[in-house]
Amino acid sequence: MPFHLVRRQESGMGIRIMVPLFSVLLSLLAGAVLLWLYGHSPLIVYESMLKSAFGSYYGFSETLVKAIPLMLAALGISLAFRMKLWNIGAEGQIYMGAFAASGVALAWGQWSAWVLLPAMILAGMLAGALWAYIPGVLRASLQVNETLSSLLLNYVAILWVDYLVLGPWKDPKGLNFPLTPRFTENATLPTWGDSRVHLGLLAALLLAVILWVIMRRSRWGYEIRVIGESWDAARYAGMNISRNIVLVMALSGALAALAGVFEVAGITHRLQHGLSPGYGYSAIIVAWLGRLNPLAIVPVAVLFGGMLVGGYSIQTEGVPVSIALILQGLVLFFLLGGEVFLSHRLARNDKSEVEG
Amino acid sequence: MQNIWKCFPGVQANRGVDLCLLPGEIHALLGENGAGKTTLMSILAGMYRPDKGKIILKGQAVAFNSPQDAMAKGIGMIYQHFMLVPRLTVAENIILGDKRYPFWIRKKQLKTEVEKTIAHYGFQLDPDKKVSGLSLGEQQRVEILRALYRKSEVLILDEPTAVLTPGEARELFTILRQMADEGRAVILITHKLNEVMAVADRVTVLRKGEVVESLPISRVDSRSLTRTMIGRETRTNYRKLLEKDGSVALKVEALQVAGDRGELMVKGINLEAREGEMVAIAGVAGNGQEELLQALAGMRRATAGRVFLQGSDITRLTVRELLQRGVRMIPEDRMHTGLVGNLGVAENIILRDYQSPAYSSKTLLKSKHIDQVAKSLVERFTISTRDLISPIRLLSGGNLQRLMLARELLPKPALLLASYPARGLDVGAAEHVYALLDEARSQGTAILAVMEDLEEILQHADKVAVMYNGRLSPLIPTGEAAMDQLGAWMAGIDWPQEASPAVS
Repeated sequence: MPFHLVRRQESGMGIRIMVPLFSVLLSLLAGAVLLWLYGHSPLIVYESMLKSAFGSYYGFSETLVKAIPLMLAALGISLAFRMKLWNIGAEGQIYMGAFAASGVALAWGQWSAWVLLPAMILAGMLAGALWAYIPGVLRASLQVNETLSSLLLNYVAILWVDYLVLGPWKDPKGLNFPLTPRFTENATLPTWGDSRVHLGLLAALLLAVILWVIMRRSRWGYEIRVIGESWDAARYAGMNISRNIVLVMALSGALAALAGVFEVAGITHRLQHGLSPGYGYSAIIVAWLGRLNPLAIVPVAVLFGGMLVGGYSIQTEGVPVSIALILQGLVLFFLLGGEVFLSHRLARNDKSEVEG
Repeated sequence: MQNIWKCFPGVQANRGVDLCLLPGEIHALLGENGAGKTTLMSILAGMYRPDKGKIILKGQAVAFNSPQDAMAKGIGMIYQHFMLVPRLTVAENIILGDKRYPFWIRKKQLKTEVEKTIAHYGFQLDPDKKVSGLSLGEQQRVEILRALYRKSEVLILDEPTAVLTPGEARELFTILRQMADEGRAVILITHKLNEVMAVADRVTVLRKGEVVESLPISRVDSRSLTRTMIGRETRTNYRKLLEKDGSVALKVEALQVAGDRGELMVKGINLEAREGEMVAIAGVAGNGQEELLQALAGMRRATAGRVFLQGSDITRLTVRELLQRGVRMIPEDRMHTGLVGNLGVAENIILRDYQSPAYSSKTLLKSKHIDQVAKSLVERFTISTRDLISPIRLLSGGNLQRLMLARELLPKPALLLASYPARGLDVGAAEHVYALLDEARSQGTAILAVMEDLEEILQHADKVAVMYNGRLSPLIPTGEAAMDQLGAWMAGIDWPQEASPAVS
């Protein structure tokens, strides 16, 4: 090998922006090769993706619609990841949030919106918190690996919702489709103009700022950062690690669940099968690409929302929708591969000097 | 080695070093921490490449791309941290990475070969024993055997006595002499003068990456060596004893503490430390010292016994409750326990007291005030840092230790627990640390320090006890302690009668 890796003493601001940027670029390049092999012109496909996602009022509004759940779930994930708690159960937490909010909406649909919507939000967040509390408690008390337990609970949550929409909660007038009856008007979120962009966007932006303040400026955020860096140091500082594990997991789940609440209250207006096209998983990439910084997660979520919208639109040109998912996967792949360059740099092997 | 240069970002580790090695000699490489000894030897052993300069072996210029290259040319290095696989046997470790062995190994043949080498050097080692069951001294011998087994002509040992008892160190020196007598060149990296005088034929002193002196041992003495090594005279004995005994600050009664795997590491210890007194606990690492200090600091639960601070029972208190009573601690592991490497100076200053009203309200941190405190501490404790927010993992060991001391000494402690307070520091930085400890002591703080270097203990502490296998010897005033006796106790020899409790 003509090159070897040398440890960087410090990674400056420039490199911390360049590495993710370069990773995204490389993933687009790899995606282009795939598209080309599939018989499409990568440039045309990318251009049409870009245009449909960001080129029109309607397109951009749809991009924002997809960005909202990504943002919320990614915010939740970033909180847990900051403490090196690998909560990959956001997908399940989204479904549990949607389930609980739907339960409230279906049972008390006649309540005024001012009571009903907050009740749905509360119930949804509580359900998500409880769902994430399970792996949290198991980790804190029995050292059960939260990566596995949170992942496996996703399937339970998704199947639970499927059971409800196919069974007890199925809309009798729904032509046997797996969905519940439509919510009342009081249980739906206000939207912006004639678009589908709902109030959830404001909530997500507000939460991003609040989380940023918590992490940077608050006593609790300081605890989370110290625990995330080293348990030994946290113990030495007298911090309660177990309590924080449970707390952070629960809050992380509550934030992801909020994405589910807003999906049913703002978009579908009912609980249905396949409610989330994997927002909970894409959000992991969003959180990571945003380097777990709540404020950086906002633009990254919009970018990924655009990728989803673009992916749907190119179907009309005969490109499978999976290309958007493949691109997402590639981004994560190159991103993780690029991590090493944050702490190392390439240096040329110079034999002549050694041999003198 | 001719004109060797090696530069790491920000540090010029070696600048134009020439070093000449003769077969059959023990060559000591002496210098403070950071003088470039280990870097220079790692270049010779193929671990690093020099930026400039060449290595000439038996008249031929050589270039190593890896430690395997160097090993093939007969250069073996034994690092401070042993490169052994604990789950494998002695014999298996010895042939580890040896390309001469095929995929399948004939165990019997291997065993007899290894046994032959062991017998030749008169080692006491069972080739079938797992490395995890060996003492540190034995593990080191496995490393040496591995080098010998590969026909090393040049053997480099990096601070080999750091983990050994004085007795084990003497045995090691005998082995080294035998190897030199067989025509090998042995390089001993060290900063201990007495070792150099005891065993070396020639000594090369490095300072700031440059050779300052290279002489036969007959032409130097330890005073002149210290001067060359540090570049100035050391201050000695700045200890001023208090005129009268302080009242008892810490009292430990029959304390038992379990280790990480549930085994008893501290087996019933009695101990007293008075205000304004520094008590040192000597011993080879791993004899329960760490567990004892952690228990006293509230980071580990005592399984039996009681601890009193100024008369009140503190046995079951948490870290936070102990902090409120002025029990502070300097842990052994600076980077992962005592400090957080990825946080800045300011955020490390508040690590232990972040909940105090000075640093935070109920919810938010008081950043401005924290920065003020940090700034003043940086000045007072001469911590050289670019700013208050860059990750502190880039700071030197001395700076890190001062940072930790700055934090732990800020509210005057009633009791300061210190684990190897000067370990890994160069002479200047170590002096500074001891001066700070001395200042705290003169203000009435009781200090309990776990240390390993007997000379340093006798120089800086008021009283000393030896910890061995979870038990503590009687406390002896350092003025009356004999180095030989302490050394024997460290190895568990002539252990004093259990009947005498360690009370001053």
